Parts: sequence; structure tokens; C-alpha cells
Amino acid sequence: MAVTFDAVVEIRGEGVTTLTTAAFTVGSGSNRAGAVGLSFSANNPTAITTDIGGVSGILVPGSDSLDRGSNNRTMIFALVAPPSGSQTATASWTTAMDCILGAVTVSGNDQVTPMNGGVAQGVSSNSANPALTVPSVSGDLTLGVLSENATPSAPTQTERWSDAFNIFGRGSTGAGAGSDTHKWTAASSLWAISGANFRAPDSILPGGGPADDRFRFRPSVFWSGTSTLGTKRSPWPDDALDFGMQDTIDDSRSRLL
Amino acid sequence: MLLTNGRKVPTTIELLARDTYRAGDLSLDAIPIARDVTEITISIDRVALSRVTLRMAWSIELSLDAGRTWLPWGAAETTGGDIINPRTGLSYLESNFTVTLPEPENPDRQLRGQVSISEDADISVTVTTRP
Repeated sequence: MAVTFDAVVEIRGEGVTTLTTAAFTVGSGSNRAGAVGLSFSANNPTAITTDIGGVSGILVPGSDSLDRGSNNRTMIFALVAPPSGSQTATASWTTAMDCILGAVTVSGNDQVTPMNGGVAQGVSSNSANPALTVPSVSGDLTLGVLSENATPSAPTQTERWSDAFNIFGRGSTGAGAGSDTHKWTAASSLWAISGANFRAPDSILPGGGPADDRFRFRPSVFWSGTSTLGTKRSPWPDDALDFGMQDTIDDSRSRLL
Repeated sequence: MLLTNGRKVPTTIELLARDTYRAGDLSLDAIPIARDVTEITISIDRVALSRVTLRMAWSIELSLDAGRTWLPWGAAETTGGDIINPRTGLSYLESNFTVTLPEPENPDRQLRGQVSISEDADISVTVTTRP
């Protein structure tokens, strides 16, 4: 089974702390997953939460471009099993700033680890042509998210959203092909870029390793009644386990429960 | 939609006149959307929003059938106080969100909305439409 693009929605906001998209239709395909890509106009958004159709997203490890001092920051949040039908996507954070939010849903996706291969880059001085290589295997679907000060060209992968005001925010997807490069051609400027990989069921990145494993965890640990994120339905099935991370799970349990 | 030298240009309409409003919910009455409009921005004037404890939320709904059914079509939240845009070093004069609209040839499109403010506030709300 290969990951198949389903739907996309996008919104932009200026001087805001929360954005909620227009209604969009999530398909009824099996093994659905979703991602929320954020392009910020400042370095320091904190306490970020996202959801699609009420299902909360979790930051894909490695996908945060971090504070590079460039007033561009990108990140990708992933979730499984967004409800089908008419839905909206939301992101909230502290400190009002500009943001472009793009949300993508897919079907045919792994239901335990919806995305892996998180990568990100950012520049602290002007640089041309933002590009990022996202690891994947055949059957996966990669996602790239860009925030830039200059007008980027069409991407090397399939463009899913494109918006501009104080920042230029873009999103693109590419069929898994080992290593998808998400690249935009642009004049030299400041930018940040994030990427992550929608996993086909049980797909493993070449070499496995941390990029493949960091996002696996036992959901009940993170979605306990004491969690600040626990007001929304867990995006992971209750029986989702990854024994490869048992040590980490136990550590987390001892701290959180 | 206005025409300037044969070109369509953005049009801004006041949805909520500048005034001091009590804390609570304010309705934005339904208005028709002109043909050819493909994008709208809903803005709240921040000029008089000095209280940092103020919380504001605003949202719109879209109808494609002359008001019989409505879909949520975008929402945002923000805080009061003087918020500096780190890119310009200047205060934000407004907070807004922008969404695209479907069916530009549909004459039955309408827009309505709601604004919620946590404290009494001096605000205005506008919509800017673009072809």
C-alpha cells in the first residue's frame, strides 16, 4: 500500500495567535493521516498546538527549523486518523505573529508512526535557493514546508499551497523515492525549510536508526489525563506500541504518570 | 468590485463600525460576495487595543446557496496590547486572516461572521475582497 495524497487547505494570518482554516473535505480512504505545516514570521513561537478535525498533531522530531535569528521558522506536526468529511485545521501559539498554515491529509499511511524522516534547515544570513532532502522509501510521500523573505519559484515537487504577504509560505509533496529534494529557486534571502515523510505501513527508512524510531511511542503515556494536551482525542490507537523504544517509554511514564 | 482602468482592484468594506463594544460576542451580518472574488481578508483594527489582557477571536462562515447552509471558512485569535512585528520593528496596526473562496461565478455566495472579545474594546472589523 502506498501513501496517497487526499486533501489540502491553507490559511494565512497577520498578528495572530491562532488560525483555523476554512472547511475542507477529508476523504474516506483507509489508514488516514495528516500533517500541519507552519511557516512563521518570527523566531520564537512557543506552546504550539495543532489539530485536524479535532485530532491533535505532534511535532515530527527533526522538523523544527529552530530559531536561526532570521524571523523565519518552519515545522511540521503529524497525526493519524483525522475524521473524514468536512473538517478544519487549527494551530495556536503564544505571542502574536504572522503565520501561513497548510494542512495535508493522506490515506494508505502507517497508523502508528505517521511521519518520520524529519529534517529542517534555516539560514541566519541571506542565501539563495532553499532546498532540503527528505529521506523516504518507495510508497511513502514526503512533505516540504518553506518560509522565505523573497519570492520563491515553483518547487521541484508538487506544490500543495502557496501564499505570500510579509512572508512567503509554501508546501509541496513528493512521491517517496529514496531521498526527495524539496527545492525552491529564489533570490538570496533569509529562509527556513522543514521536511518529513508520510510512512507507508511498516516502511523503514534506509538504515533505520533514529530518524525512523524517534517518533514511535506508546500513546497512553503522552495522552494521559494529566497531559496538557489531553483535552483532545489521542491521534494514536491505544494499542500502538513500539518495543524498540521501550526504554524511552518507561522513562517517560515515570516522569509523566 | 471596483474597476480601475479596467482592472479589478481590492475592495474593503466595514463589517463592524468603529466603536467601543462590550465584552462578549458580536455578530457580523450576512453580506453578499461579489462575483470574481477569490480571496478575502478579515481584519481587526488594533490601534486602540492597549490592554494586554484582552483576548479576541473572530471567524467567518461562507454560504454558497444564498444563506441556506453555512460552512466555517476561517478564524483567528489574538491578544491586545502593543505587539511589535519583529521584521519591521513597528507595531501591528491590525490583525487579520486571509482565505480563498470557491465558485467565483456563483451569485449566491454570502459571508457572515462573529467576533468575541474578552473585555470591552474599541475595535472595527473590515473585509477586503480580491479578484
